[in-house]
Amino acid sequence: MLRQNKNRQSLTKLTKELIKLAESHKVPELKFDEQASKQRFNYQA
Amino acid sequence: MKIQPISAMFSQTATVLPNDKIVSFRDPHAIGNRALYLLISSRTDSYFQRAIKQFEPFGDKALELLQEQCAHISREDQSGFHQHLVRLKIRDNESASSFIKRFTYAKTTAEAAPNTYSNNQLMDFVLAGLRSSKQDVYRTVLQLYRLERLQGTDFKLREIEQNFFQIDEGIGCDKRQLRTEHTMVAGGTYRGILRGGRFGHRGRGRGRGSVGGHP
Repeated sequence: MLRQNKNRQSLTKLTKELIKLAESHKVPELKFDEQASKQRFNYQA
Repeated sequence: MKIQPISAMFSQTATVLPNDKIVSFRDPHAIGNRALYLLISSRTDSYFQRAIKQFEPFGDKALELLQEQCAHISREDQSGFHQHLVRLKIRDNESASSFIKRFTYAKTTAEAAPNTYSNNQLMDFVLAGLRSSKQDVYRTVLQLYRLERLQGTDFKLREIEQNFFQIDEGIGCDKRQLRTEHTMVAGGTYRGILRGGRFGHRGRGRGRGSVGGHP
């Protein structure tokens, strides 16, 4: 039980840090596009 | 997705994307994998969020799906991207820096396909693409490169990019200076018109008239 709580805490902490870093690095949101070339560009951007 | 530099910063997530290829987690239930899933979910639109939902909470599987959907490369793509790179030409009125930027994009896409190119091949492609430019400065530089290469000098794409960037910077400076000079000349002419031209006479005339007409 204690271990589960600790895992959850570290998961929350890691996720928070990852998302915060992604926001500060301005990682763009991956958006769906009907054109394959644009989709590829969005993925690689 | 541009999350590679983000995942690389944490030991729990660094192993999944050592380069462009995805390496699955040894333990799928590892904290890093679950955090990665949440990260991906936060950086995708609702369509992709729904698409990856089937793999919740496994980030590596979600990432594989996105790569498969967005950046899948078939055999045809490999040759297609190569052709695109080889046929890339500078547009009319396009600067060399802008062309080299497009070239770099095409090169990285072709290399991801995966195509491999030697430095000499890349030089051939980029210089061939620039050859159709009508700008005298670029044509002169291309001739100089040609001579140097004939004498056995090797160049790197980075060097060419840097040189053309400097040339474009010089062209930009010259244009700005010319514009300033034109503005100054135009300003002088305008002042001249105001002083001695139509507007000046009208002003004086009006002044005289006003003096005479309305004492």
